[in-house]
Amino acid sequence: MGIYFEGLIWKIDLYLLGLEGFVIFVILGVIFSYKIKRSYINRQIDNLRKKVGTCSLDDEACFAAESLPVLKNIGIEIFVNMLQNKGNIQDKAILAKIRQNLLKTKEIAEVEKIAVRGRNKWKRIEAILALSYINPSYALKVVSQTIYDKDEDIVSFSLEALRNIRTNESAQIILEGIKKHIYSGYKAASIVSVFPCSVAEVFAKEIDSEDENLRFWCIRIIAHLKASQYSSQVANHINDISANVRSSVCEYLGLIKANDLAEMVLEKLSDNIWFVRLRALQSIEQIMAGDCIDNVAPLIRDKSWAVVETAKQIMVKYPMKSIRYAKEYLFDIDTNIHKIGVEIIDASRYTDKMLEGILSSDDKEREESVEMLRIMLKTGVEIELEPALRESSEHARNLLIKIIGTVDGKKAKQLQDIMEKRKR
Amino acid sequence: MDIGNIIFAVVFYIFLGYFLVQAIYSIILVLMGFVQVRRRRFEYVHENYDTFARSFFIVPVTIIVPAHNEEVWIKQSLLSLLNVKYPMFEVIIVNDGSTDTTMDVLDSILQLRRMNRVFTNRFDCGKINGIFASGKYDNVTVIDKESGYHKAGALDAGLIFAKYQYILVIDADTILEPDALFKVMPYIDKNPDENIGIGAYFGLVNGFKIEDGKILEKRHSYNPIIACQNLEYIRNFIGARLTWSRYNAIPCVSGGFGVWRRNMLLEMGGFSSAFSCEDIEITFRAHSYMNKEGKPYRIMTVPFCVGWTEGPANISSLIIQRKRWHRVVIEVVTYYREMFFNKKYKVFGLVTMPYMVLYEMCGVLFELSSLVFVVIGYFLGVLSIKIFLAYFLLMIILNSLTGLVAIISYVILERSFSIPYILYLIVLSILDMIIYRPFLLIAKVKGSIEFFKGYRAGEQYKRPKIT
Repeated sequence: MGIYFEGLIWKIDLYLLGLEGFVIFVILGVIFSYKIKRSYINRQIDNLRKKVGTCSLDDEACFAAESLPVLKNIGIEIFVNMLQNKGNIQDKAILAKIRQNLLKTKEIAEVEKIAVRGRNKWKRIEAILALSYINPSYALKVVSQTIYDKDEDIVSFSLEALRNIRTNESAQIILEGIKKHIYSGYKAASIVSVFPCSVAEVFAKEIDSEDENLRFWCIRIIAHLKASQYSSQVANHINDISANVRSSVCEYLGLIKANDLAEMVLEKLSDNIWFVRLRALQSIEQIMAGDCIDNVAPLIRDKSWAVVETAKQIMVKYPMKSIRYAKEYLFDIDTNIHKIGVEIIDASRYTDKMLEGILSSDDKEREESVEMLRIMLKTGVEIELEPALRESSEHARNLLIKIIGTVDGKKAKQLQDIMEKRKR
Repeated sequence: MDIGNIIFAVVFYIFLGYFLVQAIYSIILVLMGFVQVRRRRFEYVHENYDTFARSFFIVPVTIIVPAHNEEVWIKQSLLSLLNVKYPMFEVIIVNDGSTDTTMDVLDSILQLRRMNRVFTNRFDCGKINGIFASGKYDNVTVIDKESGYHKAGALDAGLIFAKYQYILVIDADTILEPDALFKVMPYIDKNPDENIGIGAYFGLVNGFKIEDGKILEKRHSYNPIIACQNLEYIRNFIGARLTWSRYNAIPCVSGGFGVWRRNMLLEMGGFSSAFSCEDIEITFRAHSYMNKEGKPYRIMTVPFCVGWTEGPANISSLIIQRKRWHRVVIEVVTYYREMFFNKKYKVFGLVTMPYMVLYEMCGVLFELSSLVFVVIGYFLGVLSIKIFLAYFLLMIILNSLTGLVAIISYVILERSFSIPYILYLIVLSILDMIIYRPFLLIAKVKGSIEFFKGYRAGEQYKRPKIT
């Protein structure tokens, strides 16, 4: 064998070529198995669609397996596929019939067995999810165990199964999980968000729990379910020792628009903890709408950027009420505060009003508008004046340019040139 | 055996070692990607988008589309954006000083009206000439700005006006799938505190039948240049990037589709127009910034197809595109050299960065010199054709195995595909090293020369008309 091991390399090449051939074979196998499976499922669904067209939904006999044999071929996998691909069959009555039929089959017993004791993790998860569609009561039994599984995928998909079921019982299981810190409350809340409002009663039982994490998430979930009947019980926690709980109380009062409890929320705008202030800001806006601006404006100089951002968003939402603060912000040496002033003016479309004011016959209005234009130009705010000038009459245009000239001669000259060029 | 032969053999094995490490590393990446694909596919099948859409934790998105002389594609791209199904999003199109009819095309679709907006331009992105609202769609804004600040400048201009906390950056030739945002945003939603960036797979649109932003027929092009790029995209997005993503070590969230958190972009000073291309730079900067700040973060990739983009259909266009890509790799890797083998940056510093330096940046040197070395060896009579062929075949097989594993992942993920096209990709994965890689080598050589000449333009090849 030479220094380059030529013979050995040829041998390795041969083995690798064999491996490559095997991989190609696997690819082809996977492709054809998918194609065959897909066409089988499609065929069965098509057959079902044709057959049920001839049956009345009330006609039990017609749907019985003997007269509608195609139901026999609709196995669990096809049924779950039908539920997930909404283009297939959406008629709830037909789906209910198929579900009833599946409950009578041997296949369901097999799936139940896999869900409880399956060795392959993914097969087990598939079985749990399938059960959540077909046999929710059995799925609840299984999931109440699997949410405590060591494997995070099994826990995660058990929660998905609970999301499919959406009953008080499934909410109770989710609550138990929060109690035992199995998963984050955030994940649980996200899942409960699509449950019917009636599940609020499950979480309301724990509003006064000693566990602050549980109190926090229960109030938060009830808040997003907008269950206003618990307002007095929740409001008792406005001065809770836990900042999380205080923030969730604010959130709750905002979401149910508790006008009579607005004072409580206003107090929390000066809480020591930033996210309590943030939630209080959001809530007070939900309760008082534009009337909250005077309370919101001081928070534009808050230490927390998130609080500042929220205060800004509220002020931008009610620009006409915020404009007097915006003028003040334009002079601020802090560029962020300056920018907030600019954004408020921008959102309010104040420039149109200001240009109208400049041409107004009312001395006070004119003075104020000219002053505002001066402030904007002096503080480096870029204003698009061309479109407004183009739309004005010649007299108004000349007057505007003249006034702009008293503030910024260069800008006035520039605008004059543009207008003349356009005229030509 | 004389000393010359021994020295030659030593150099030979150094080259061999270098290429073997690369091939094995690539195979490991795609194999680990394969495991990730299975998991993501399962999540995708069982994710209920309706439920997600109705959740009160939905994250709104601002889509920024920079467009410079994009009259050919902007209509389809814009219409595809208008077809996107997502509860809360806005679109900002930045006309980056186009000299063609891009603005007219936008006007004809959107019925633009000029707005008197005031703003503060905190970025070095050029003068903003006008801001336009759409008379037809409330959530669309067009910004007209001067050119000359690369795509980064256009993105920064969009950032000034972006309302929402998450920014989706796409190219003006990207045709988005209607459920594109649903495919990525649930991952952001799982942990918005940590997930600062996310990319996804997108394929090549060449050959597709498109009408009003909708893809009517996905007929993949059999042009070998296009198909080889498709294979390369599959290998990268569904293989390597998924694995890097698993270890939070992804080197690039592609500019064709990348979601970033706005507050982080603002804190970092926006996109940088000092580089030839902004996507890889912003990814490196995000890793660097978050590590320096000591903030927990995650930048990830999902393997789902979120859209389609147009790829160069001939060799000269391919070389123009790839030499720019290679140039920017050198620019970024040399700029962020302190991350090289720096354990502070964890897997990114210890694995991704060395790979970028050794194989992405310096690979061209090794490839060229190994070619010269083989030729010299042949003429000196030290290396026979048979030996060369044995080793070359070894490289071809290892390379094609990477492609084949990526194809399996693709098949498992997509489920609906054309069998002849997959067979064609299988053949190309074997021929790739002979019929495609040489052009990439030429592009890399040109890109390296341009880098050393200080050339930093973000040039584009001329786009063909849509069929």
